[in-house]
Amino acid sequence: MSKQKQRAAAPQANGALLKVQDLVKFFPIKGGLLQQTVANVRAVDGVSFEIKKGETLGLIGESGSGKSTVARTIMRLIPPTSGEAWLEGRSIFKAKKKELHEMRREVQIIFQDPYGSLNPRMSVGEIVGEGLLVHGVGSAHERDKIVSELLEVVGLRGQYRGRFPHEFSGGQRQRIGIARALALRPKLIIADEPVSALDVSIQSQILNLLEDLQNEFDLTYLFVAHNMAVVEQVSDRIAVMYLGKIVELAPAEQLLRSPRHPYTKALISVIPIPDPTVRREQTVLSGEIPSPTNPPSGCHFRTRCPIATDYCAEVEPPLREVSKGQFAACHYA
Amino acid sequence: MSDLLRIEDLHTQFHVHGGTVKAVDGVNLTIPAKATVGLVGESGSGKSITALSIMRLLEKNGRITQGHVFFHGQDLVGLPDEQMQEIRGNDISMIFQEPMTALNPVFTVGDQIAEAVRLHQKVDREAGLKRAIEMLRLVGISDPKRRAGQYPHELSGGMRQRVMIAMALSTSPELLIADEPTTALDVTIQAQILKLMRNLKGEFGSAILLITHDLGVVAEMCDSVAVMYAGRIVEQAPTEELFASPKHPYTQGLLASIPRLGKKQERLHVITGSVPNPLAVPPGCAFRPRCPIKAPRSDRDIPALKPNGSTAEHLVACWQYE
Repeated sequence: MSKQKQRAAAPQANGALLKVQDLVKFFPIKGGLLQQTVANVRAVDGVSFEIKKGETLGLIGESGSGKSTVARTIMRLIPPTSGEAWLEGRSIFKAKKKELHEMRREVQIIFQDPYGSLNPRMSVGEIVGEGLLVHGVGSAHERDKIVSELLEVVGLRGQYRGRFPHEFSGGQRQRIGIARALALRPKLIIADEPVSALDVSIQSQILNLLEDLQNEFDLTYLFVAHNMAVVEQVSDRIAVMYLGKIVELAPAEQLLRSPRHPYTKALISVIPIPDPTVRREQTVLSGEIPSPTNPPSGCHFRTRCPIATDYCAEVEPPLREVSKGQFAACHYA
Repeated sequence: MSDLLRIEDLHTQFHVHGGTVKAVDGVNLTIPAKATVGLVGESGSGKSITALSIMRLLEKNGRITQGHVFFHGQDLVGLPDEQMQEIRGNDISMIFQEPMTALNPVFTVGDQIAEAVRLHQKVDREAGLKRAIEMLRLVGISDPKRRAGQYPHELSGGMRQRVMIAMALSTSPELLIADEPTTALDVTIQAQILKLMRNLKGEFGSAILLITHDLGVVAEMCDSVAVMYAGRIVEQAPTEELFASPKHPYTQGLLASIPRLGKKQERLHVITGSVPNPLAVPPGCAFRPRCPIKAPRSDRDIPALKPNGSTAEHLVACWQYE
């Protein structure tokens, strides 16, 4: 299939809060005397998806799959190489300074590391209220009130406003990060591995909280993670990434019950299940994810795929609908 | 089966700014020969410190203050350093979560494995290197001769973990302590390493103490499991027994709060609160503030770990069964 040049026409009224089309992000590797670009790390290599209002889309993949780069590009924390993204029909990548400022209210991010993502010199009140201040919301007194309410909403005490991040446990810090993300009443929250650094008993508290907040504030989530059981618990649909591409996208239950892409199948088959009575056939993939600097020709997964043929090296499989609502990028799915 | 390692009433403390942390606070644990025993717990529960205490590799501010670690009946606590050095690496080996911390960046991996072999088996350099290459092949590294000449930074995370396993097993230890060996790895690479460990176990017959926070890994690998909380073992049982009928409220809560693959739950179970501050562990049962049962006496006295389950092998430390 030839690469179609998608017209950057804004999608209208199809219920998508976020639409991403042919997103590409290459990181150049400079070298030589003149520091010219000698190669590219093809971190995101043509990714398209939509998230409906109120939906949670899980984005799962191993290290180097490009999932976090997708999240950061949508946030415009890093510029895309090409492709488009729209928030309710408005282009995110073409937005000028003022428009972008507005959009930043509507899209917020929660980070993985509750230790590194909070400024240790700022009080909790300053951290949570910073966005309000930047966007000129209310008076100082009103902002304090909002911050206290936000802290209560995420299960902390309003009086904690004056304390500093080091006084809190990992789970509490993640709650502070969530309160900060909520402050400007965003429409979309991008959660980048929000529970990966937390212990199991704390993880379930945070996952439940995210679910409660979604109902209460009508939120839409892009939930980026590497743990399939966690992603399944929170997601309506799941997109599986491998080496810069989405290889499968389906409703969560369907993906787990009947995966169609060989990578998804193998991935699910080797996730350790906390039940010693479960006996199942495991597909242990050999080798490792190839370097994104020089991905294999054709299908990116073919070098580790148990069913790859010569055809897979020649022709890249498009992401196509293999059953209702389920998309897989495999010639044999 | 005979007991290979028997830990009795082990206490390890750390002096830190602000007081004394009782990281390990009365641990009893037995590892039979050739068995795989899982040690699970959350961060700060003391599982890694238990391992480092066995190996006598504690930081300067840490000290075993009480208890015994019997290896083949010989107490390792108080053993002269030279003798401990003999046992370490030769009879007991350890692998860590992050291989880069355990591998020396300025030596090739082949030289490092050869060195380990030479130190413990008194063979010459050439024989050591030969053994190193053989070990690399055994842990599934392709083109082992070339790899032996590479430095740790030239290898991927999964490859480094294989090298560390190769080094740990090069002396055919009777006990391998694996501290979160796959936590830093991707799922598909974790699967490779777990499969490798199972295969090598068959080959070498080493017992394994597997330290992890992942109950899925435990279910897949271990014959029995011990669950740690705030420096103590709160429950121990054969793996199937523990998962089928957990007795301690903490174990029950932990098992209930993990998201299950293919079984989306309406709402996840939650253990309220968080682990106690290590400098201010409550008196009595350390889990009491988070416990839904709060059995009588638990506010005053620490419950002992003893058989309260359906079999003599199922031990639990909770006053509700008294």
